[in-house]
Amino acid sequence: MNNPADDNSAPKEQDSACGYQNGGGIPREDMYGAGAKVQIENAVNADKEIGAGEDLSKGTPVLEAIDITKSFPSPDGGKLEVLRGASIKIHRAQSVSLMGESGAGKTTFMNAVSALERIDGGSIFWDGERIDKLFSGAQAARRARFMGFVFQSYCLVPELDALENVMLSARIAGLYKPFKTRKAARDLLEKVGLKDRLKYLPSKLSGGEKQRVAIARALINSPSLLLADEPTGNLDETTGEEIMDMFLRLCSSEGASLLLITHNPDFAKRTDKALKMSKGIILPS
Amino acid sequence: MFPWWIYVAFKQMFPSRRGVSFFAAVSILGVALGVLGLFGTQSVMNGFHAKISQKLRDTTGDVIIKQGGRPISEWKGVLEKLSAYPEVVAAEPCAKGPVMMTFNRVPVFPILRSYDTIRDKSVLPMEKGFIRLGKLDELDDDSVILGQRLAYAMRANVGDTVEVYSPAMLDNVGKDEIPMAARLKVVALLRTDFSSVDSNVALVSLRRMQELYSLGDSIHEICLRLKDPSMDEDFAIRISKEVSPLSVSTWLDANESFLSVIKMEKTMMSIIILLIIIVASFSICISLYTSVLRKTRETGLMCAMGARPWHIICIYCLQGLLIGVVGSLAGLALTVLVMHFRESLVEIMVGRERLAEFYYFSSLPVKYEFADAWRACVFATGLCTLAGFIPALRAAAMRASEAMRNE
Ligand SMILES: Nc1ncnc2c1ncn2[C@@H]1O[C@H](COP(=O)(O)OP(=O)(O)O)[C@@H](O)[C@H]1O
Ligand SMILES: [Mg+2]
Repeated sequence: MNNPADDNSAPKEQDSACGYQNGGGIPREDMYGAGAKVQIENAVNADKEIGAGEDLSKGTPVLEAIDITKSFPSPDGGKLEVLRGASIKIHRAQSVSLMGESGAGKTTFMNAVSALERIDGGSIFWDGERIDKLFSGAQAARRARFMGFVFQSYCLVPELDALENVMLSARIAGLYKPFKTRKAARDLLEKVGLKDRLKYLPSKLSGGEKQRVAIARALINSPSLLLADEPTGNLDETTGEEIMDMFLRLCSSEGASLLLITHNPDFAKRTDKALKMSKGIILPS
Repeated sequence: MFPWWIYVAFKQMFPSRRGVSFFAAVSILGVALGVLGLFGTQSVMNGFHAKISQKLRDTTGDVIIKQGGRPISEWKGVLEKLSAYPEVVAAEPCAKGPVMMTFNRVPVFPILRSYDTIRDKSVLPMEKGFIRLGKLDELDDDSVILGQRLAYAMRANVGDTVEVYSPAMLDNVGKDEIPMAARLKVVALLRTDFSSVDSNVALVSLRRMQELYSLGDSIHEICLRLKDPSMDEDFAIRISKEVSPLSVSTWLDANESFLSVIKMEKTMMSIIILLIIIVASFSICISLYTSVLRKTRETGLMCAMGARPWHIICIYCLQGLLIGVVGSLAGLALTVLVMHFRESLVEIMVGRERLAEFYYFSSLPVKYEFADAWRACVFATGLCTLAGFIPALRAAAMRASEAMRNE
């Protein structure tokens, strides 16, 4: 069993790491009921302790996956073991990169920890709550508020313009408030540098611009965790640099943790923690 | 705020900044044409049915009292009793039968119908402008009113004299004798716009008819026109005891087979035209299915963002439903529009004369029936929703994880 995620690397920008208050997305208080507010404050307090220079691992991890196994039926009737005991732990406002050869199981791992795919064994915790045994409806409801996704292919809804695409995420999560959401979406699109592209349909945007919209969409619900699967994979080097710069900056300023799958060692170096995956196992760093 | 999946379904059909998608526009048009075909045909068939019914009532009366085909001799008391009913607008003693009529040696064989010139209370609604080129008042025992088309066919005009031979004349003449024709002067023309009457009926006075048919003082039937024609069945049942042993029937009984043909025709045409809507729903199904496959990744991402499979099903079913509803309503509107200009359309396509020749009327009758509209809409909408359901199932079966892998 590997448990490499259990380490002490501290966030680079600790001041903003605890800064939910400066989020561009929907304010926390709007998202959860009054009861949940207490929890959130506790969490923020926990962050403050960290901010004061204490051990990062003290707070509840945003994501903890232990010993995940997953296999697919192979065409010849046997089993293809893709994940063979992969584990990870991501703390609040921490960014983690995951590298590994193609076919190592990175995408499968991401689908597993985000509960898009059922796992064969192991356990998954989101903010300390075990979710892998929940019904998919409950998983979906939590995921919508807890996670944001950025993929290599931008996956924008082609019939909606940039602003509407960003707002759709809030609608699906059930956090839509006509004025607040619109303003939050505008602000986010401005932050990703698309101030004058709000009303453009995806077909009228370049690849880089589309990915910026996708990033804004991932952030609109103020998620605790962002999952990004090769977000610059379809972009040229310069644009990829730009986007990644902005992405990492936004993640930390919005106070979201990040799990970044990438092939670029430069990007990996800029995260708080760089992990490697090989043959279904996350190697100790 | 309506649910997000309604928003997405609506946007897929009416995208931002593009108004309406090609798919939605064409699908709606297809459904609208189908509904137009269905509802339009049904409305015209209803129109025929209603107009023919009206004409049949006008020319036969609402209720008819007979004596099993034999002449009725004791009819005056019955007539008086029936006239006393407040429901009865007109009660008419009536005799009719085929005759041979010649003019300039051209023979025709119309039905001769009596008109009671003495009581002057006919079931024929003469106030509807049935009499042309002359006056009803001028009808006496030596004159005749010809159906307009009949007159055309004989090339006879008002003022001409026609000769009439009845079947009874043949009975009455001895061997080697030639029956003496009755010479009747044409005093007016009858125009009901009901082709089978106008080309086949002539009116004479009741006395002349009784004479031609050797009836003495008897008649063939008593015809009644009612204040409320829809009460015909009830009224017939009510009086049947009173007039026995005479038998009572309604105009409907007399023309049942004729009307059932029209009903049958309507059903058959509807079934055939339904195919248009079915075909339209097929293409909706195919288009949506293609769009489902094209949107694999967006669908996957929606699932990642928290969408449930039933949301995805709703998105596609709703598109079918929306097409069905909008298409149906457009189809109804289109029907009313087309029917409004039907005269010009018919004139362009077949010509007014031909219409009058083949059908019974010189103008195309239309009658909208709520039940038809309702059925057409429900059928079209149901089919379209079903057409959305098949792609919807396909979309919902897609797992988010696999959709995301689709690169
Ligand atoms: N649904 C599936 N059915 C069967 N095999 C799968 C499925 N998904 C992924 N795999 C296999 O799992 C392995 C890991 O895939 P993936 O997680 O996409 O790798 P990576 O993202 O690291 O390139 C591959 O060999 C792939 O063929
Ligand atoms: Mg991958």
